[in-house]
Amino acid sequence: METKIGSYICQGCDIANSLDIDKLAKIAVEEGKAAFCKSHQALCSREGGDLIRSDIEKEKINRAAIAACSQRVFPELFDFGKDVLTDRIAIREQAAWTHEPKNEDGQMLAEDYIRMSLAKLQNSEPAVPYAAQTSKDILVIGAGIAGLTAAQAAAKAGYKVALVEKQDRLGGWAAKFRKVFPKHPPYRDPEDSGLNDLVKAVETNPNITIYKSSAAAKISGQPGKFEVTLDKAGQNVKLDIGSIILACGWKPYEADKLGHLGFGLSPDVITNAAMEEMALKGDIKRPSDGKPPESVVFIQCAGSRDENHLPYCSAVCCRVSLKQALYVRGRNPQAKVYIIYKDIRSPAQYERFYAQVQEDEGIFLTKGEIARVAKESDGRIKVEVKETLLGHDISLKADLVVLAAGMVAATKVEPEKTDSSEAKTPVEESKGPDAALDGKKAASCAEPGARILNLSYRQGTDLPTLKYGFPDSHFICFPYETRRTAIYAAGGVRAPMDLASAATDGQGAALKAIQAVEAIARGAAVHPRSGDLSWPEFFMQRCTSCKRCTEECPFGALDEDAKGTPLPNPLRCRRCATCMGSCPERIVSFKNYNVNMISKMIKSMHIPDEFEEKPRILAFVCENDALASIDMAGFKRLKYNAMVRIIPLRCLGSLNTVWISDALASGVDGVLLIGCKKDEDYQCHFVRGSELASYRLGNVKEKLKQLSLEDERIGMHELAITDFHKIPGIFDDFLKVIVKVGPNPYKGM
Amino acid sequence: MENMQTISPDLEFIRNIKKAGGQDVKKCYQCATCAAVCSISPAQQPFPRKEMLLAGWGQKDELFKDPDIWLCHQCNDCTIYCPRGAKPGDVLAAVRFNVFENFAFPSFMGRALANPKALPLLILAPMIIIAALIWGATRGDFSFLNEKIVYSKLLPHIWIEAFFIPGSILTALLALAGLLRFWKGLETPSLWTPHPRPLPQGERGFREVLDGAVATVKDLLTHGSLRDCGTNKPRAWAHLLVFFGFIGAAATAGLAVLAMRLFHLDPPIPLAHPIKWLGNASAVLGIAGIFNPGLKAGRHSCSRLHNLLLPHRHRLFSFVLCPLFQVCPHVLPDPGSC
Amino acid sequence: MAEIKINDSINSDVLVVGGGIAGMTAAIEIAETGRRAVLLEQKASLGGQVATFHQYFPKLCPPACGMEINLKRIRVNPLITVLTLSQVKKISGSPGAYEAEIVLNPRFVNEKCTACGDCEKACEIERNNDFNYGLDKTKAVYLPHLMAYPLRYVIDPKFAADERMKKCLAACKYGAIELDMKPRNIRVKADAVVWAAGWKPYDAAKLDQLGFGKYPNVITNVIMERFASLSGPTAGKITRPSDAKEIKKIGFVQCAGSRDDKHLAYCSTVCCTASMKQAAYIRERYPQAEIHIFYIDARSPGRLEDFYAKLQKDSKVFFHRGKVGKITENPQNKNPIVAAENTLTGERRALELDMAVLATGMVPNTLDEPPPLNTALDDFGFIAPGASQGIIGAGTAVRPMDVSASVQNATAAAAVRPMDVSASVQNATAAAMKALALVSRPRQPADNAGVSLLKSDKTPEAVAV
Repeated sequence: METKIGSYICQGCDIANSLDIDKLAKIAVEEGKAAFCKSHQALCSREGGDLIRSDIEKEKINRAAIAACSQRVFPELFDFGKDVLTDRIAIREQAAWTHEPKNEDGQMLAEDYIRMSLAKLQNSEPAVPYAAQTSKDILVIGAGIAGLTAAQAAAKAGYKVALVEKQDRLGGWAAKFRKVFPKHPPYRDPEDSGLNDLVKAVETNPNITIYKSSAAAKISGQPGKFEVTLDKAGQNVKLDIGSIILACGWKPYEADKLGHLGFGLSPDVITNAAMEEMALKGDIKRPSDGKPPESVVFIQCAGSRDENHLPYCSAVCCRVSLKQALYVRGRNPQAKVYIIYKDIRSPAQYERFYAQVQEDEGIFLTKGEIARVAKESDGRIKVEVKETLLGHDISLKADLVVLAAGMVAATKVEPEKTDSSEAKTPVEESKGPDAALDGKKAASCAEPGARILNLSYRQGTDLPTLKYGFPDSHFICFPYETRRTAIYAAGGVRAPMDLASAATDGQGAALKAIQAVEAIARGAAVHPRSGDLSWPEFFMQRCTSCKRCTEECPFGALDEDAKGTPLPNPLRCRRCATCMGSCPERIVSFKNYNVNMISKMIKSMHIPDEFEEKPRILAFVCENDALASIDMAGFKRLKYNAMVRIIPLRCLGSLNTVWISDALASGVDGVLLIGCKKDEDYQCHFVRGSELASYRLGNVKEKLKQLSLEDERIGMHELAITDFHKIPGIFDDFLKVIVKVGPNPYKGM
Repeated sequence: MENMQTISPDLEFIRNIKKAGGQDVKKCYQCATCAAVCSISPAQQPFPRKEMLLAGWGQKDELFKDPDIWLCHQCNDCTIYCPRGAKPGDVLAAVRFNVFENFAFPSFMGRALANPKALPLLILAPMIIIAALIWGATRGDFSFLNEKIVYSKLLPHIWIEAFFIPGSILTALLALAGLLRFWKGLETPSLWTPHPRPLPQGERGFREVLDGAVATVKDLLTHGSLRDCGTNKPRAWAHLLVFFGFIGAAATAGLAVLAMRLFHLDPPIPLAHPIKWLGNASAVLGIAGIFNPGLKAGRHSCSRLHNLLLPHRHRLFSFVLCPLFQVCPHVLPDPGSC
Repeated sequence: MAEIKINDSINSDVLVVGGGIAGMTAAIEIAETGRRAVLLEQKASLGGQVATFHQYFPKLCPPACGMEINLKRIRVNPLITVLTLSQVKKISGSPGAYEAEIVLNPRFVNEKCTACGDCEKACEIERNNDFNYGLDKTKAVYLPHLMAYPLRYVIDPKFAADERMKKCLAACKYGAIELDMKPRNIRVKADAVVWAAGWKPYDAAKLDQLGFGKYPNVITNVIMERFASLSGPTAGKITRPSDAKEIKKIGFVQCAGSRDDKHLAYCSTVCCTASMKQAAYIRERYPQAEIHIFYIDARSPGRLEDFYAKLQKDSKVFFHRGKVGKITENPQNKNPIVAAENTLTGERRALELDMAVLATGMVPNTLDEPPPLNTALDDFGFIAPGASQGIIGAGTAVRPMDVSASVQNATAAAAVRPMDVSASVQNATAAAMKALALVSRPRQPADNAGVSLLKSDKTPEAVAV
């Protein structure tokens, strides 16, 4: 379908007062090759919208260049459907509001934006959804409280669920608890976990197929079309699955690593898990002689909050020990129970449970550090505690010592345990800066997962994990964010949490799984580019199997064939275009976002020659955070120089270095990259966009040296969305650098 | 661990604390709000936070050796601001009660005083003694009743003095014995201050004790520190009035005996006599102290006032009765005794 | 006021009450599964409490970043209808068939507003800015905050009838100001109701021994967030309110109101980590400042422990295990003096500070405005889990919790009730398809997903276009 562009220029919001609308219209038609250019008092009004819609009907335009406000303002008003490609030119925020009115440079800036927008529309097409026959069934791995709740929620919503459980019965950890600390008002006394009703409901739900003593032997394909092979006690079961919920729970921290707290000294030093097991069987007894204990010492943070063991806090052990103290006191009113803690962490209404347990006259709590645990001649255990609240060190004689051991993700791979064949230390240790810097190593030692999901993904068999081995989201506002599309972690595997949170987590993951299958069925992306219909196409003929894209894709969307050429899985893709940025041969492109489109935008800019004293700066800007703060600078009417042309990118990771050489070749004097914060507390919504950009910048600067161009011509900044006040400084300081460095020698070549 | 102390809580002691009014002791979660709001407790090892922990952990010996529980004026600032409702003020009162019970000499008296069931017996004992004295003096001949009423006919002074003077000396000695037992307890080092600050030797030591004594007396007479307490500021006045009421009453009794023995001023002393005035004034002070309107204007509604004063009902009981006995012989229509 | 005729009604799958992070999440997540959601917010803009925060713990990242994505997801999804300045009058019915009567309070600015700000320049009336807890002023016509959605001005109802507002009317070139807007009633039919009314900070003035309201340099944690924020009353500078001097010594008073039977008997869960975050604010601005944190139990569970461990490595941050019992003031320099015993050393100190920050707790808004259909509340006012009448609590309406827990909870809330609506998934998905087909036609309010909220000339609050 032949492209026909209608361009519109808004006069409202000071645009007409600061720019010459007619000149802009002339540029749009003559240079931009737009079919026509109309201006309107307020394009965002109903009349403005009607004007454009009538042109679409009558003039049959299929492209609309709208020079008005930023793409972030009223996107729903300027969305003319799947067949009309719209581009917003932010001459309000980036020209009128941030530059002096009726000023030559400001006018040239707006003209360049018109040229660039029309070049963009000439060289891109509306996105066509990836058509695929997809399954909406959901696989839940792990039938603990999280998995059961997830399966139940999805099934109740009418989706078919396959529930896979490693053991021969459902319930996970909750089945091993005699009672649980109270989750309902008045939050005073331990209660039943309610597991049995949940298990009954799941077992009788027609939408749920249960596979006990089973595991996922192999999962290949992509969301909507996962080919799952289950190993059900020896025989294989094939399933077509749409999305997956990983709810395989947690495992206790290995007790034999708690020798410093007395484990192994005597059978009477046990863990909280063993204590619960004993309580479930019926009676609290000393393992050594079977007698009921007269005095029990609970040692909190056994392994947790400890640099040499688990530096994090396992969140529930305080409330578990409080509950177990009631077990001891319940059986023997003369028993004395001590709880030695660093901090009692009973948040929210659980504080009432803490208050209730305190009232038991036989329970004694104090803050303290364990100095020594020793076995006495009479077989009892002496626990020496220092830095207590009693103002002096104390020693306690215990018949039984319970270590409140921490929680570890079931997916955590202990370094020495990996068998020699995969003798790679988990990337977690080697995830330091050098791992990302040379690109190759990050992907080649893909994390040796716990082989629970057994994904046949190029980048590893399991979900990537955060610092402590939990496959958790790195984002505060998006706890279900995952680096493997449509595979969501829920419950104890994601983070240490209690049963109520695990159940909530299961429900939340169920909703996300449903959301994924629905979005994928209509070819749309999931979070963060929810609803984006574009997807990457690879021009395989020119691929040199350099493996850059398969390694740098943050979401493991690209597998490889034997030769090393990428095998794209569009339904795994989050449309961040990092692959497009990484490809030296520029073979990756999206219909509405590709290398050529931006190259053409750069070449469409009007570059004055060096005598006109008008340097040109090109700023590649992340559209998620940096563009928003540039808009806010507009709202605050902060002024900056008119030499800077801004091109928003989906993510700085999608920056292809050819754009920098195109810019310099066409005479641009300086290039700025503005992205999100990287490294430990990274802000990039696509994990490492700005990190990859800064790495690629290193290569570019070497090329600059070969072209004898100063490397100060390229600048990079990390900008938070609220840093709008820094924008004038960034642009104006960079202009000073460029003026000092002088015009680009290739100008006018 | 030079002062490593093996700890084993005394559950019985905790129950005693709860019975004596400290029933919320275990609610304490050691936040130390009480030690921060208390205007009397010292900056080093302030009370009552550590006492709450010791009581909660049933550390009986430690508490009995703790001098801090005697500094508390029971003003209850701590109880008002305690976030858990552990009522530190009442817990300390309960600990003091247990100390009385524990160090009282002879110990059966201590136990009897602590046990409410023994109250009737305790009330009966003095009545029997007085009855025996009266019987001894009158030999059952009550014929004087229809003549002019003269006390000494019922119970001559000589009988009163013969019994009560040695009686009070005995009481003082018994109290001293209990105090000495308590004092010996203080000798053994408490784990709080493992090595009690030694008193400087010689003249400086004496001066320090003297200054301490003078300051204490001054504070007692003016109730200065009790007035610092925020919550019960009006109570300081009430306590002061009752305090001087008692001193006045004791002085009156002493002067009356002296007047009778030295100046042969036979009772009943005329109403206008200064000793009588002193007696009546003390009674008025005492009663004013008890029903001090200030108490009501204090920060509590009546109901909270009730549960604050509840543990001290036996004191109230004695305050009200003894002034009544003093006043009623002068006020009641008396055919002519004086 | 003339009886407003209920002339408009919206058919929806879910009604979400409360436009904070939890309410927004619930509405977005449900809409992205193809179901319709109506999102009600009492104030003039979405955002709730998180819009007032400077940064989140533990990443110290700006809340605007998450808001930006969520607002983009709302704008591009026609299945979400946002109604601000709206209040629930009554909700009747049962799961699968609820009917809510809602009043739309007048914004006095219609959908023609382009947020150009001319009216604000022309306005002469000033009002207390409740977004900054009354610490600064805005004009009578104002933009709620920089990430406001809808991105549209609003006029404080107290001044709508003031003569001087005529100047703003004249200044507006787009006819967006309508000073005679009237409240309007509408009806929303939905299969499920999610209650995400959120929380407000505990009134620190009730803590009489801590001196908030008496001593100027005693502030609360929510006020500290506004001081630290660029759009706050001090544009990001944290200085003493009494004399605007720099901070050399600051104290954070934990459990100000929380874990206290006489105030809030529960733990508000986030104040410890919030104070640690605000200590980072101070350290960023004053590298040498002494920071004291008075706590009973330092509660930074899970991964947040890293945040606490990092702070402990700062040599000028001092953690005192002991609650501040009372605060007095040094009259000469108005320095707050905090009294607390360090229960590990048994030493009570009266520490004179430049500023004291009370880590006040969270009070659920369900206390003042209980959810309808006598939904069971626990004895602190939070919605009890497994509420009887099907009204689903989400976020801090259920428990005091931090932002990621609220989002987790809201996502789960969206997954509970509306899912097992009687309509089978096929027809719901079909409805979604129909609704999504609307993407091709702009969201003129004429026929949007059953929304018959016609844009009469007096519409105070059209579909938040």
